[in-house]
Amino acid sequence: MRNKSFFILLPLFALLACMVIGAIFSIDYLKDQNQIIRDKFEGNRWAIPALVYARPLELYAGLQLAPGILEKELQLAGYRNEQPVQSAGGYFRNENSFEIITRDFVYPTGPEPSTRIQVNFRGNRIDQLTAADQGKNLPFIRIDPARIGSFHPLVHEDRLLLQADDVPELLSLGLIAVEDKSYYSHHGIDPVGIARALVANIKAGRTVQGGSTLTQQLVKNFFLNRERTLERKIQEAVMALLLDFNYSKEEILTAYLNEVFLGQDGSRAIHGFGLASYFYFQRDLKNLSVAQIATLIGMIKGPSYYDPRRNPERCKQRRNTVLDVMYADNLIDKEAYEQALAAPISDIAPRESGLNRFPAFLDLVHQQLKDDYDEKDLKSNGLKILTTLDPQTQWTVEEQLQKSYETLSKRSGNDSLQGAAIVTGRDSGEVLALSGSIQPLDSGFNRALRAKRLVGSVIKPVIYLAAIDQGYTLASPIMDQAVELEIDGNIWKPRNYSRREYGRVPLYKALSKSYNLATVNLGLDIGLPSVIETLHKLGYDEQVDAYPSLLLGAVNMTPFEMSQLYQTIGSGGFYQPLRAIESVMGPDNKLLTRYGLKVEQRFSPEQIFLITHAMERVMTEGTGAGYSPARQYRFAGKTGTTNDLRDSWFAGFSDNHIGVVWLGNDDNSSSKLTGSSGALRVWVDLFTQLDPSVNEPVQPADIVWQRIDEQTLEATGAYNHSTMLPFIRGTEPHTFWEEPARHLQRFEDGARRFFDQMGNIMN
Amino acid sequence: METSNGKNRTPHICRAALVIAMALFLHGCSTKRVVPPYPGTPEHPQYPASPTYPTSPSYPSYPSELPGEPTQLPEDIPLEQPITTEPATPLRPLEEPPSQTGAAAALYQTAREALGKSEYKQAEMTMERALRIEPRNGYYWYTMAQIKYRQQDYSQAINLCLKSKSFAGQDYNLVEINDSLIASARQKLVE
Repeated sequence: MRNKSFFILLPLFALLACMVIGAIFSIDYLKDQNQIIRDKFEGNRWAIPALVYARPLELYAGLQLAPGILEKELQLAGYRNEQPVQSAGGYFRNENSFEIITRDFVYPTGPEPSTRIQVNFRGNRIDQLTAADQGKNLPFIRIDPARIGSFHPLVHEDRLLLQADDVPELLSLGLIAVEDKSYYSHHGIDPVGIARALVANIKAGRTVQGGSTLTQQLVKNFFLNRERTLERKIQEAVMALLLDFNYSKEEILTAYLNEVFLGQDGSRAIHGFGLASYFYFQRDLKNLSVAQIATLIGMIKGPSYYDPRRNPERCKQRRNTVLDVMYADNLIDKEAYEQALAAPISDIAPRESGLNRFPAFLDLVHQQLKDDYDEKDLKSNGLKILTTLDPQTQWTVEEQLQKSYETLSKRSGNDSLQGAAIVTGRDSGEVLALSGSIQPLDSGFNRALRAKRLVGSVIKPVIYLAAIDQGYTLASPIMDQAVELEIDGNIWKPRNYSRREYGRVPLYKALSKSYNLATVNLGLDIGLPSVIETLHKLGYDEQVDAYPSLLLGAVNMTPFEMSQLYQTIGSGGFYQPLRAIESVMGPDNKLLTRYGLKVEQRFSPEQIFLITHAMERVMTEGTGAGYSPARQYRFAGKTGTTNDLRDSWFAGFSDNHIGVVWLGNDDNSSSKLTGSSGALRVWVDLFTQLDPSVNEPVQPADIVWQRIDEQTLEATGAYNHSTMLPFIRGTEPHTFWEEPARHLQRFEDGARRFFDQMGNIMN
Repeated sequence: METSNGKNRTPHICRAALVIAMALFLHGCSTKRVVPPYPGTPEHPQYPASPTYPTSPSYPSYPSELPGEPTQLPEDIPLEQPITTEPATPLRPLEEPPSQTGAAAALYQTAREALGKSEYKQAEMTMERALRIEPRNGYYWYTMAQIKYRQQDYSQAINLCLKSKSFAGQDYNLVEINDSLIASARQKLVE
């Protein structure tokens, strides 16, 4: 009896145990699945790479701007050319007048709403700027900035996140009508739908209908991989039920609209309706037409198969099917239906993407961001990075580099010539343009930031500024004569480029003519530590060895580092770190970091006025004067050439900009160009386009002018063989008539010495 | 011996001095000597007296508004009061500086309004926009200095004043208001 009951009870116990264990496991399983859903759905659902923007284009009456450039800027910012201009992001140009509807944009100062504006040009200048709706003049407005890049892995998903409020009703209702009619009544899975699909598929002998709900589709894309096993199917169903249980229908639908795959742009996968709307129609989602909404809904079935650009006919048929459903479900009226059926599939010509169009500049942005943000922040946190890139300046730099390459490589017979250029705002310290190669789209070696090259004479203003800092004037006599120095047991015997010696020369001329011997003698007089200190004060952070060859530029710097030195000189002696980023905002448009204007005085305006004057002389009578366009404007700058013509440099400034151009070969072979025959020409051609106004230096109150005899280097009133030079008040020499008593005293002292000597000889 | 040598030398010195003085005098007569305060020859183009503000009738230079009067501080800088909260007295607007474009002046006004409401970040960013349009307007730099002063960044305020002064040229009013703000900022730094 006991044994019998044992044999009966054992399986029962076993079954019970299995059920208990199964229940425990299934509860654990559900808990696990629930946790997965919650973790992903409530955290950062998608890794959104940081978006990088150019500076916004500020428009105002009086602005110097060619109409063609405005159109190019608008296109870079993704504006559509349309007539009539319908919605935000559209423009129409009628020769010299534009109608534009700007887009909403949240700046660090706050949101600026979309505005319809009218811009009228007179020549290359904005004549009138009005708010088209009110017909009143606007003092200024800015066009929302162009997206110029993002930081993402090589192959990546891209999306513009939508909030529930951003979604047009027709889109959500249309989507439900087409993909999942019982969306609002099922609980994540739709058994009736599955049965219906099963019957249809059995009848057809192949898969013709899917039974997945929108929730299941989201689960499949969002949480699971593409594996098609029974286990996965069960997991999908369980997760869909849990998702539906935990979250509202609206939340799930918004997540679906952001997740769904809608196309491919090279290595970039277009996800979500927000980005797809821009990608296919250059419009904000809320500005899409009925036909366009239907097109996007239709594409879910096969984004590549129904691609409106590659397969327009197929796409149109699919769109019309969606329109049929919309009309049948009373989502649109007859008129809208017929209008949409007649609409073309796309009114947008494929355009060149502004994304990653300026790789060298983006590289600089990335470098500057690394100090404050780690790689993960940049690739996944949806940051908004507003930069200082000025597309117009960047285009001009790129065009000029290419044009010059063609001329210079032909002339010098050097095909492997490379180059880099940087342009900054003279008083803002903002990097407006940066090219790291002769080829604009070259995303390889960024020479502007990484090519450490010998700098040659382009460093000389540093030495002369150090001398001015020690009390030298522009008329101070410097000896341009041979010098021999022993460095580490070797004899260093510098020479002038012309191999000649010029004897006693005024300081300004030694710089403008780039005399090496005079510079070495001057540098040794004031001492290398003082030169190095000046170099650091100008903004060079690296350690520098105190070798006399430093005086002739035997130091390696990148063009960017050189820009920093010239920035301090060009901005009137105020150090300001060169900035490529203006501010960083979070995905919620909250300002995270500001990189604002900062200045620190390192040299007096008077000292800078003197060195600037000497650098202007470079362009009018020195090594820069060989290229005639340079003489028309009052540019200030300095050429640089290294041994065997390996590097050709020019750095200088105009009224509003500071720029550095470097040319050379990557393998450090001879570029066959001097600073004057190479970089100077690129720079001058570039700057005559950027700043065609005559430079007008601001003269500090303590500057006085004096005429100096070029032979005696004394003050003179005579015009012949003399020149006007600026002096810091109190350091200027005087002519006889300005200070007769002092001159008579000097004369008497001299005469007394002379007769003393004569007397001594006679005695 | 020494005395007699001295006596013999004196007539020689006088004679030589006379000859050279005559030569210099004749030289002075033969050429028209002009030392302009600012060179204006083609070799040396004219430097404007105050390049920040063109002195054309449409853009009167700033200080000419107050001829002969002691320079007013157009902006109240709370020197004694703590500035962590709202400024003790309402901001009087800085007398409108002449502007080359309406845009910069409008931005400048917007920035001053923000400054008046103690919205310093807003004011600063708006002033940066104005400065992009008119980077050499000394008054705009001075306003930047004021904003930094209000933000208690005194060393930056001083540097911005120095920058403003570097554009002052002969505008002594601008120099004076900057010097005054520098003095206040230095005092704050000492405190």
